[in-house]
Amino acid sequence: MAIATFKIWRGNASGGKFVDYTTEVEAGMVVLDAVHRIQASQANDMAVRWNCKAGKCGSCSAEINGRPRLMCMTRLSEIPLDQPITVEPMHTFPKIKDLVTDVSWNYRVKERIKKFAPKPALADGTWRMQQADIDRVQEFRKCIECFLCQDVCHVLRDHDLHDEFIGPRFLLYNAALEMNPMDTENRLGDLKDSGGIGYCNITKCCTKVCPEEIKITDNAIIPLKERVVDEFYDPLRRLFRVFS
Amino acid sequence: MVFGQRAGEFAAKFAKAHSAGRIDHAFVEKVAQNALGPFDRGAAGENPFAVQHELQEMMQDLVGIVRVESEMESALGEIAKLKARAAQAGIAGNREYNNGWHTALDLDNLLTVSEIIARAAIERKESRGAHFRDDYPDKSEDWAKYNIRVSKSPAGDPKVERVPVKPLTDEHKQVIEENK
Repeated sequence: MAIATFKIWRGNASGGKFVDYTTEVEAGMVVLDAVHRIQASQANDMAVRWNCKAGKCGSCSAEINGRPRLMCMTRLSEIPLDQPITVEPMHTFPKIKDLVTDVSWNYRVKERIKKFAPKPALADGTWRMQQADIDRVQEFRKCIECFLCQDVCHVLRDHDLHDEFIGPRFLLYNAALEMNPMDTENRLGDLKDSGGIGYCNITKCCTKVCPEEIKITDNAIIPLKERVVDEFYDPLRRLFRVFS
Repeated sequence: MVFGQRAGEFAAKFAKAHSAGRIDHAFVEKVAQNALGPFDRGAAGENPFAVQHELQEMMQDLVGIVRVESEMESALGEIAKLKARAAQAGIAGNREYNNGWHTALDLDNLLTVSEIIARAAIERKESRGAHFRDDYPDKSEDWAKYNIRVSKSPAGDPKVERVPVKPLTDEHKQVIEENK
Protein backbone atom coordinates (compact mmCIF):
# COMPACT_ATOMS: atom_id res chain seq x y z
CA MET A 1 0.00 0.00 0.00
CA ALA A 2 1.31 3.42 -0.95
CA ILE A 3 0.53 6.94 0.17
CA ALA A 4 -0.20 9.67 -2.36
CA THR A 5 -0.93 13.36 -2.10
CA PHE A 6 -3.61 14.97 -4.19
CA LYS A 7 -3.87 18.72 -4.70
CA ILE A 8 -7.56 19.18 -5.37
CA TRP A 9 -9.10 22.50 -6.37
CA ARG A 10 -11.78 23.53 -3.89
CA GLY A 11 -13.98 26.52 -4.50
CA ASN A 12 -16.86 27.90 -6.52
CA ALA A 13 -17.67 30.56 -9.11
CA SER A 14 -16.25 33.32 -6.93
CA GLY A 15 -12.85 31.71 -6.40
CA GLY A 16 -10.96 28.90 -4.76
CA LYS A 17 -7.63 27.28 -4.03
CA PHE A 18 -5.82 23.96 -4.10
CA VAL A 19 -6.10 21.88 -0.92
CA ASP A 20 -3.72 19.01 -0.16
CA TYR A 21 -5.17 15.61 0.74
CA THR A 22 -3.05 12.58 1.58
CA THR A 23 -4.59 9.16 1.17
CA GLU A 24 -3.69 5.50 0.86
CA VAL A 25 -3.77 4.10 -2.66
CA GLU A 26 -3.72 0.54 -3.92
CA ALA A 27 -2.92 -1.23 -7.15
CA GLY A 28 -5.67 -0.89 -9.77
CA MET A 29 -7.05 2.42 -8.53
CA VAL A 30 -7.96 5.29 -10.85
CA VAL A 31 -7.97 8.98 -9.97
CA LEU A 32 -11.75 8.95 -9.44
CA ASP A 33 -11.36 6.18 -6.82
CA ALA A 34 -8.85 8.29 -4.93
CA VAL A 35 -11.07 11.37 -5.16
CA HIS A 36 -14.00 9.32 -3.82
CA ARG A 37 -11.89 7.99 -0.98
CA ILE A 38 -10.87 11.51 -0.04
CA GLN A 39 -14.48 12.65 -0.30
CA ALA A 40 -15.71 9.84 1.94
CA SER A 41 -13.07 10.22 4.62
CA GLN A 42 -11.78 13.80 4.65
CA ALA A 43 -13.98 16.08 2.57
CA ASN A 44 -17.66 15.01 2.68
CA ASP A 45 -18.86 18.19 1.00
CA MET A 46 -16.45 18.00 -1.96
CA ALA A 47 -18.30 18.16 -5.29
CA VAL A 48 -17.41 15.70 -8.03
CA ARG A 49 -19.64 14.70 -10.94
CA TRP A 50 -19.50 11.05 -12.03
CA ASN A 51 -21.81 8.31 -13.18
CA CYS A 52 -20.52 5.20 -14.92
CA LYS A 53 -16.90 4.80 -13.74
CA ALA A 54 -16.23 3.12 -17.08
CA GLY A 55 -15.33 5.94 -19.48
CA LYS A 56 -18.67 5.87 -21.24
CA CYS A 57 -20.80 8.60 -19.66
CA GLY A 58 -18.44 11.56 -20.05
CA SER A 59 -19.25 13.07 -16.64
CA CYS A 60 -15.96 13.04 -14.74
CA SER A 61 -13.91 15.28 -17.02
CA ALA A 62 -11.19 17.18 -15.14
CA GLU A 63 -7.61 18.31 -15.50
CA ILE A 64 -5.16 15.89 -13.95
CA ASN A 65 -1.61 17.17 -13.63
CA GLY A 66 -2.66 19.83 -16.12
CA ARG A 67 -4.02 17.43 -18.73
CA PRO A 68 -7.71 17.23 -19.62
CA ARG A 69 -8.74 13.65 -18.84
CA LEU A 70 -11.55 11.48 -17.51
CA MET A 71 -10.88 10.81 -13.83
CA CYS A 72 -12.31 7.30 -14.13
CA MET A 73 -9.96 6.33 -16.94
CA THR A 74 -6.73 7.71 -15.49
CA ARG A 75 -4.90 4.92 -13.69
CA LEU A 76 -2.70 5.86 -10.76
CA SER A 77 -0.11 3.45 -12.15
CA GLU A 78 0.51 5.83 -15.07
CA ILE A 79 1.12 8.88 -12.86
CA PRO A 80 4.22 9.45 -10.72
CA LEU A 81 3.03 9.20 -7.10
CA ASP A 82 6.19 10.59 -5.52
CA GLN A 83 4.95 14.11 -6.17
CA PRO A 84 1.52 15.62 -5.55
CA ILE A 85 -1.12 14.96 -8.22
CA THR A 86 -3.16 18.02 -9.13
CA VAL A 87 -6.85 17.59 -9.90
CA GLU A 88 -8.79 20.65 -11.03
CA PRO A 89 -12.03 21.42 -12.87
CA MET A 90 -12.08 22.14 -16.62
CA HIS A 91 -10.95 25.71 -17.29
CA THR A 92 -13.10 26.46 -20.31
CA PHE A 93 -16.47 26.32 -18.55
CA PRO A 94 -17.90 28.31 -15.63
CA LYS A 95 -17.18 26.69 -12.27
CA ILE A 96 -20.05 25.44 -10.12
CA LYS A 97 -18.22 23.91 -7.18
CA ASP A 98 -14.90 22.13 -6.66
CA LEU A 99 -14.42 19.72 -9.61
CA VAL A 100 -17.85 20.40 -11.14
CA THR A 101 -18.29 22.84 -14.01
CA ASP A 102 -21.35 24.15 -15.83
CA VAL A 103 -21.18 22.65 -19.33
CA SER A 104 -24.65 23.84 -20.40
CA TRP A 105 -23.18 26.16 -23.05
CA ASN A 106 -22.55 22.99 -25.05
CA TYR A 107 -26.21 22.00 -24.95
CA ARG A 108 -27.24 25.44 -26.19
CA VAL A 109 -24.75 25.22 -29.06
CA LYS A 110 -26.06 21.79 -30.04
CA GLU A 111 -29.64 23.06 -30.23
CA ARG A 112 -28.63 25.55 -32.93
CA ILE A 113 -27.28 22.89 -35.30
CA LYS A 114 -29.68 21.90 -38.10
CA LYS A 115 -31.24 18.52 -37.36
CA PHE A 116 -30.88 15.36 -39.43
CA ALA A 117 -33.23 15.56 -42.43
CA PRO A 118 -33.45 12.12 -44.05
CA LYS A 119 -34.18 11.45 -47.71
CA PRO A 120 -37.28 9.46 -48.58
CA ALA A 121 -36.70 5.72 -48.38
CA LEU A 122 -35.45 3.80 -51.41
CA ALA A 123 -37.97 2.06 -53.67
CA ASP A 124 -37.67 -1.14 -51.60
CA GLY A 125 -38.53 0.75 -48.42
CA THR A 126 -35.05 0.78 -46.86
CA TRP A 127 -32.34 3.36 -46.32
CA ARG A 128 -29.51 1.07 -47.43
CA MET A 129 -26.01 2.58 -47.12
CA GLN A 130 -22.50 1.55 -48.15
CA GLN A 131 -20.49 0.06 -45.30
CA ALA A 132 -17.76 2.66 -45.86
CA ASP A 133 -20.29 5.46 -45.31
CA ILE A 134 -21.53 3.82 -42.13
CA ASP A 135 -18.01 3.39 -40.75
CA ARG A 136 -17.16 7.03 -41.44
CA VAL A 137 -20.14 8.30 -39.46
CA GLN A 138 -19.89 5.60 -36.82
CA GLU A 139 -16.50 6.90 -35.67
CA PHE A 140 -18.08 10.27 -34.87
CA ARG A 141 -20.91 8.61 -33.01
CA LYS A 142 -18.45 7.20 -30.49
CA CYS A 143 -18.40 10.66 -28.88
CA ILE A 144 -19.45 10.51 -25.21
CA GLU A 145 -19.73 14.31 -24.85
CA CYS A 146 -17.16 14.60 -22.08
CA PHE A 147 -16.26 18.01 -23.58
CA LEU A 148 -12.54 17.50 -22.97
CA CYS A 149 -11.94 18.60 -26.59
CA GLN A 150 -13.87 21.80 -25.92
CA ASP A 151 -11.85 22.27 -22.73
CA VAL A 152 -8.47 21.95 -24.43
CA CYS A 153 -9.30 23.99 -27.54
CA HIS A 154 -7.41 27.29 -27.33
CA VAL A 155 -10.10 29.12 -29.32
CA LEU A 156 -12.46 28.56 -26.39
CA ARG A 157 -10.01 28.15 -23.53
CA ASP A 158 -7.65 31.06 -24.17
CA HIS A 159 -9.54 33.33 -26.57
CA ASP A 160 -12.95 32.76 -25.00
CA LEU A 161 -14.76 32.84 -28.35
CA HIS A 162 -17.76 30.87 -27.07
CA ASP A 163 -20.12 33.14 -29.02
CA GLU A 164 -18.34 32.78 -32.36
CA PHE A 165 -16.96 29.23 -32.38
CA ILE A 166 -18.81 25.97 -31.70
CA GLY A 167 -15.70 23.96 -30.80
CA PRO A 168 -14.37 20.54 -31.89
CA ARG A 169 -17.25 18.56 -30.37
CA PHE A 170 -19.82 20.31 -32.53
CA LEU A 171 -17.68 20.42 -35.66
CA LEU A 172 -17.58 16.66 -35.20
CA TYR A 173 -21.36 16.57 -34.73
CA ASN A 174 -21.81 18.59 -37.92
CA ALA A 175 -19.49 16.18 -39.73
CA ALA A 176 -21.54 13.19 -38.60
CA LEU A 177 -24.64 14.81 -40.11
CA GLU A 178 -22.99 16.23 -43.23
CA MET A 179 -21.29 12.94 -44.10
CA ASN A 180 -24.45 10.91 -43.63
CA PRO A 181 -25.48 9.92 -47.18
CA MET A 182 -29.15 9.92 -46.15
CA ASP A 183 -29.10 13.55 -45.00
CA THR A 184 -30.47 16.31 -47.23
CA GLU A 185 -29.66 19.38 -45.12
CA ASN A 186 -26.81 21.80 -45.94
CA ARG A 187 -24.88 23.11 -42.93
CA LEU A 188 -21.88 24.63 -44.73
CA GLY A 189 -23.11 28.23 -44.45
CA ASP A 190 -23.68 27.83 -40.71
CA LEU A 191 -20.24 26.23 -40.29
CA LYS A 192 -18.61 29.21 -42.00
CA ASP A 193 -20.58 31.90 -40.16
CA SER A 194 -22.07 31.04 -36.75
CA GLY A 195 -19.93 27.89 -36.45
CA GLY A 196 -16.68 29.79 -36.87
CA ILE A 197 -14.88 26.83 -38.47
CA GLY A 198 -12.19 29.21 -39.73
CA TYR A 199 -10.98 29.79 -36.16
CA CYS A 200 -9.68 26.22 -35.95
CA ASN A 201 -6.04 26.17 -36.92
CA ILE A 202 -5.65 22.41 -36.70
CA THR A 203 -3.38 22.14 -33.66
CA LYS A 204 -4.95 18.71 -33.05
CA CYS A 205 -5.13 19.17 -29.27
CA CYS A 206 -8.74 17.94 -29.38
CA THR A 207 -7.68 14.70 -31.05
CA LYS A 208 -4.96 14.24 -28.46
CA VAL A 209 -7.28 14.45 -25.44
CA CYS A 210 -10.24 12.50 -26.86
CA PRO A 211 -10.84 9.47 -24.58
CA GLU A 212 -12.67 7.70 -27.42
CA GLU A 213 -9.64 8.28 -29.68
CA ILE A 214 -11.74 9.85 -32.40
CA LYS A 215 -9.59 11.48 -35.08
CA ILE A 216 -11.50 14.72 -34.68
CA THR A 217 -9.14 16.94 -36.68
CA ASP A 218 -8.21 14.57 -39.50
CA ASN A 219 -11.54 12.89 -40.08
CA ALA A 220 -14.07 15.56 -39.16
CA ILE A 221 -12.73 19.10 -39.07
CA ILE A 222 -10.38 19.06 -42.07
CA PRO A 223 -12.93 17.49 -44.44
CA LEU A 224 -15.49 20.05 -43.28
CA LYS A 225 -13.02 22.88 -43.85
CA GLU A 226 -12.46 21.55 -47.37
CA ARG A 227 -16.19 21.51 -48.06
CA VAL A 228 -16.60 25.06 -46.74
CA VAL A 229 -13.68 26.31 -48.85
CA ASP A 230 -15.06 24.54 -51.90
CA GLU A 231 -18.45 26.14 -51.42
CA PHE A 232 -17.45 29.70 -50.56
CA TYR A 233 -13.85 30.42 -51.55
CA ASP A 234 -13.21 28.53 -54.79
CA PRO A 235 -12.25 31.30 -57.33
CA LEU A 236 -13.63 29.38 -60.30
CA ARG A 237 -16.95 28.90 -58.62
CA ARG A 238 -17.02 32.57 -57.68
CA LEU A 239 -16.40 33.53 -61.28
CA PHE A 240 -19.08 31.14 -62.41
CA ARG A 241 -21.52 32.72 -59.95
CA VAL A 242 -20.79 36.23 -61.31
CA PHE A 243 -21.82 35.18 -64.83
CA SER A 244 -24.78 33.02 -63.93
CA MET B 1 -45.71 2.62 -27.41
CA VAL B 2 -48.68 0.44 -26.53
CA PHE B 3 -48.12 0.95 -22.80
CA GLY B 4 -47.34 4.63 -23.25
CA GLN B 5 -50.64 5.14 -25.04
CA ARG B 6 -52.58 3.24 -22.39
CA ALA B 7 -50.84 5.10 -19.56
CA GLY B 8 -51.58 8.44 -21.19
CA GLU B 9 -55.19 7.55 -21.94
CA PHE B 10 -56.01 6.44 -18.39
CA ALA B 11 -54.01 9.24 -16.76
CA ALA B 12 -56.03 11.73 -18.81
CA LYS B 13 -59.30 10.03 -17.84
CA PHE B 14 -58.33 10.04 -14.18
CA ALA B 15 -57.30 13.68 -14.29
CA LYS B 16 -60.62 14.68 -15.88
CA ALA B 17 -62.64 12.74 -13.35
CA HIS B 18 -60.82 14.11 -10.28
CA SER B 19 -60.08 17.62 -9.09
CA ALA B 20 -56.55 18.62 -8.15
CA GLY B 21 -55.33 17.20 -4.83
CA ARG B 22 -54.84 19.48 -1.85
CA ILE B 23 -51.25 20.14 -0.81
CA ASP B 24 -50.55 19.57 2.86
CA HIS B 25 -48.24 22.50 3.51
CA ALA B 26 -47.41 21.37 7.03
CA PHE B 27 -46.20 18.05 5.62
CA VAL B 28 -44.15 19.78 2.92
CA GLU B 29 -42.58 21.93 5.62
CA LYS B 30 -41.76 18.85 7.69
CA VAL B 31 -40.11 17.09 4.72
CA ALA B 32 -38.08 20.21 3.96
CA GLN B 33 -36.94 20.47 7.59
CA ASN B 34 -35.91 16.80 7.55
CA ALA B 35 -33.95 17.29 4.36
CA LEU B 36 -32.02 20.16 5.90
CA GLY B 37 -31.32 18.23 9.11
CA PRO B 38 -27.80 17.15 8.06
CA PHE B 39 -26.74 20.81 7.86
CA ASP B 40 -28.05 21.53 11.37
CA ARG B 41 -25.93 18.69 12.74
CA GLY B 42 -22.96 19.82 10.62
CA ALA B 43 -19.63 18.06 10.27
CA ALA B 44 -19.86 16.80 13.87
CA GLY B 45 -22.71 14.43 12.87
CA GLU B 46 -22.31 10.91 11.50
CA ASN B 47 -20.34 10.71 8.24
CA PRO B 48 -22.99 9.76 5.63
CA PHE B 49 -20.42 8.05 3.40
CA ALA B 50 -19.31 5.87 6.33
CA VAL B 51 -22.89 4.76 7.07
CA GLN B 52 -23.49 4.00 3.38
CA HIS B 53 -20.26 2.00 3.14
CA GLU B 54 -21.01 -0.03 6.29
CA LEU B 55 -24.52 -0.79 5.03
CA GLN B 56 -23.09 -2.02 1.71
CA GLU B 57 -20.53 -4.27 3.42
CA MET B 58 -23.03 -5.62 5.93
CA MET B 59 -25.66 -6.44 3.28
CA GLN B 60 -23.00 -8.12 1.14
CA ASP B 61 -21.93 -10.26 4.11
CA LEU B 62 -25.31 -11.14 5.62
CA VAL B 63 -27.92 -10.90 2.82
CA GLY B 64 -25.64 -11.67 -0.11
CA ILE B 65 -25.56 -14.52 -2.60
CA VAL B 66 -25.87 -17.39 -0.12
CA ARG B 67 -28.45 -16.60 2.55
CA VAL B 68 -29.17 -18.12 5.98
CA GLU B 69 -32.02 -17.16 8.31
CA SER B 70 -29.79 -16.45 11.31
CA GLU B 71 -27.54 -14.11 9.30
CA MET B 72 -30.50 -12.27 7.83
CA GLU B 73 -32.01 -11.85 11.31
CA SER B 74 -28.79 -10.28 12.52
CA ALA B 75 -28.82 -8.06 9.40
CA LEU B 76 -32.16 -6.65 10.60
CA GLY B 77 -30.49 -5.76 13.90
CA GLU B 78 -27.63 -4.06 12.06
CA ILE B 79 -30.09 -2.14 9.87
CA ALA B 80 -31.82 -0.81 13.00
CA LYS B 81 -28.47 0.37 14.37
CA LEU B 82 -27.52 1.99 11.05
CA LYS B 83 -30.95 3.68 10.92
CA ALA B 84 -30.23 5.34 14.24
CA ARG B 85 -26.84 6.49 12.94
CA ALA B 86 -28.32 7.68 9.63
CA ALA B 87 -30.73 9.87 11.61
CA GLN B 88 -27.65 11.59 13.05
CA ALA B 89 -25.94 12.11 9.65
CA GLY B 90 -24.34 15.52 9.43
CA ILE B 91 -22.64 17.45 6.68
CA ALA B 92 -20.54 20.60 6.33
CA GLY B 93 -20.97 23.23 3.64
CA ASN B 94 -24.13 24.35 1.85
CA ARG B 95 -26.74 23.02 -0.57
CA GLU B 96 -24.65 23.80 -3.65
CA TYR B 97 -23.65 20.52 -5.41
CA ASN B 98 -22.98 18.81 -2.10
CA ASN B 99 -22.42 15.08 -2.75
CA GLY B 100 -22.25 14.40 1.00
CA TRP B 101 -25.67 15.92 1.54
CA HIS B 102 -27.11 13.86 -1.32
CA THR B 103 -25.68 10.72 0.27
CA ALA B 104 -27.19 11.69 3.63
CA LEU B 105 -30.59 12.00 1.93
CA ASP B 106 -30.11 8.68 0.11
CA LEU B 107 -29.50 6.77 3.37
CA ASP B 108 -33.20 6.65 4.26
CA ASN B 109 -34.07 4.94 0.98
CA LEU B 110 -31.05 2.63 1.06
CA LEU B 111 -31.99 1.44 4.54
CA THR B 112 -35.66 0.97 3.60
CA VAL B 113 -34.76 -1.12 0.55
CA SER B 114 -32.23 -3.15 2.55
CA GLU B 115 -34.82 -3.94 5.19
CA ILE B 116 -37.41 -4.96 2.58
CA ILE B 117 -34.90 -7.25 0.88
CA ALA B 118 -33.94 -8.91 4.16
CA ARG B 119 -37.53 -9.34 5.40
CA ALA B 120 -38.77 -10.75 2.09
CA ALA B 121 -35.78 -13.10 1.87
CA ILE B 122 -36.43 -14.39 5.40
CA GLU B 123 -40.08 -15.01 4.49
CA ARG B 124 -39.30 -17.09 1.37
CA LYS B 125 -38.20 -20.40 2.91
CA GLU B 126 -36.92 -22.06 -0.24
CA SER B 127 -34.31 -21.48 -2.97
CA ARG B 128 -35.58 -20.10 -6.25
CA GLY B 129 -33.61 -18.43 -9.04
CA ALA B 130 -31.12 -15.93 -7.65
CA HIS B 131 -32.54 -16.32 -4.13
CA PHE B 132 -30.39 -19.12 -2.66
CA ARG B 133 -30.84 -20.20 0.95
CA ASP B 134 -28.34 -22.50 2.57
CA ASP B 135 -30.97 -23.57 5.12
CA TYR B 136 -33.58 -24.34 2.43
CA PRO B 137 -31.49 -25.37 -0.59
CA ASP B 138 -34.37 -26.81 -2.67
CA LYS B 139 -37.10 -25.28 -4.75
CA SER B 140 -40.51 -25.88 -3.19
CA GLU B 141 -43.68 -26.60 -5.15
CA ASP B 142 -45.71 -25.08 -2.35
CA TRP B 143 -43.82 -21.78 -2.44
CA ALA B 144 -44.45 -21.51 -6.18
CA LYS B 145 -48.05 -20.65 -5.21
CA TYR B 146 -47.12 -17.42 -3.43
CA ASN B 147 -45.65 -14.04 -4.19
CA ILE B 148 -44.30 -11.95 -1.36
CA ARG B 149 -45.70 -8.48 -1.09
CA VAL B 150 -44.09 -5.85 1.13
CA SER B 151 -46.14 -2.77 1.88
CA LYS B 152 -45.95 0.14 4.27
CA SER B 153 -47.90 -0.54 7.46
CA PRO B 154 -49.80 2.32 9.12
CA ALA B 155 -46.98 2.54 11.67
CA GLY B 156 -44.54 3.07 8.79
CA ASP B 157 -42.54 -0.16 9.01
CA PRO B 158 -42.66 -2.75 6.22
CA LYS B 159 -45.46 -5.32 6.35
CA VAL B 160 -44.61 -8.68 4.73
CA GLU B 161 -47.43 -10.81 3.31
CA ARG B 162 -47.80 -13.95 1.22
CA VAL B 163 -50.12 -13.33 -1.71
CA PRO B 164 -51.41 -16.32 -3.66
CA VAL B 165 -50.29 -16.28 -7.29
CA LYS B 166 -53.27 -15.80 -9.59
CA PRO B 167 -54.07 -18.95 -11.58
CA LEU B 168 -53.24 -18.82 -15.28
CA THR B 169 -56.12 -17.74 -17.49
CA ASP B 170 -57.15 -19.98 -20.35
CA GLU B 171 -55.70 -17.43 -22.75
CA HIS B 172 -52.27 -17.59 -21.01
CA LYS B 173 -52.40 -21.39 -20.99
CA GLN B 174 -53.13 -21.35 -24.69
CA VAL B 175 -50.19 -19.01 -25.43
CA ILE B 176 -47.84 -21.24 -23.42
CA GLU B 177 -49.17 -24.31 -25.22
CA GLU B 178 -48.69 -22.67 -28.64
CA ASN B 179 -45.10 -21.71 -27.85
CA LYS B 180 -44.07 -25.09 -26.49
